[in-house]
Amino acid sequence: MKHHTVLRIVTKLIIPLILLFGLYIQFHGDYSAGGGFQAGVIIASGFILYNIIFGLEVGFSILSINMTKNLMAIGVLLYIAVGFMGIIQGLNFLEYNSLLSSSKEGQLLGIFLVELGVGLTVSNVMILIFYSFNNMGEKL
Amino acid sequence: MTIALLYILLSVLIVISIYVIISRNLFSVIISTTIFSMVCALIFLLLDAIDVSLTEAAVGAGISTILFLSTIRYVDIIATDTKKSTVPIVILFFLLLDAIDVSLTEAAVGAGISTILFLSTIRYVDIIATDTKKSAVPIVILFFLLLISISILIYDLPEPGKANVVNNSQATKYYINNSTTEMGVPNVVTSVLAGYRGFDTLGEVIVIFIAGISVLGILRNTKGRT
Repeated sequence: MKHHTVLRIVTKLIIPLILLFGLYIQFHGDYSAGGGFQAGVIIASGFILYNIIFGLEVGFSILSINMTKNLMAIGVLLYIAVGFMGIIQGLNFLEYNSLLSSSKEGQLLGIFLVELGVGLTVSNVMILIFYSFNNMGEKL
Repeated sequence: MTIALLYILLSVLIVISIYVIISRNLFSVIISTTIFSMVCALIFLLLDAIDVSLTEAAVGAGISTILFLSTIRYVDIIATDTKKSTVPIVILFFLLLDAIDVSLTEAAVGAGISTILFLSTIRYVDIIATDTKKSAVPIVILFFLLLISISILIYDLPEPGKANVVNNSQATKYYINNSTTEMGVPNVVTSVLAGYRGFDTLGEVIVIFIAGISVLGILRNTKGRT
């Protein structure tokens, strides 16, 4: 769809806003509505829009399939790693109290990291599913 | 005013789902489910469930539409070929379950991803819709049995949002009272999801991760086979 001028220009204008909105939902989830799941889906939809307009080849040059595979695993591992930090410090699994000096800040940091892991996994799984369906199983 | 608007939106949901059931064009079914999700998001907004509303708008109306459409392209189901798609049944269950304020987050993600998996599995094992004509009747009976049992069970559920039922008595109060002092997070939903119930969220993330892996596994060898 690269030859559609209107689509191309509007997409270029809109994608930064979508990604920015996704990041806002991700990192402002502590204070307003949102969190990792929603942010991951919104960021993934930005990437998918780019892929629809400019074609998969251009999309792969930004975020390859191997990269999405790695990132979605890194998200889960980040979550589990934060959980094990609690065990290392002598607390329960996924207890964030002693991540930082004060227990409240530790909770904030823990929630931040956990939501980051969720966002990474969700967005990359969505992108990967889109890639798999549209790549017709060629370069997987 | 709010109640009247709520009833209008709910009746719109019923109209859309009836259309989804009787329609034979898969493309218009998908667009209808998108509208369904948007109306659901509005309803959640009216019920002050901003987080769920946002999720419904992003997941139900946004990403699942894209995934459904690319699935249709992939599976090459032409509209007249299919007698009935599996989507309406899922939607019907949603309509039943939506009456209670259960978290639709899981339902949207699960139903979206699992529908895609089912469709691609159908393509993978080459089951054509007309082959399953014989087994259609037991499935319908099973579906109605499930429908009846769920409808009976719904009567036992407490009224949504009521203050003095068991569900809302202890844990909810604890979260609302202590979230700010213990977590320092003003949004109670986030502190419950990532803090108090962090282990459940870990399970959800792993479910999504497994869904991604399964899609990879199912779609990997299609080219070599055909």
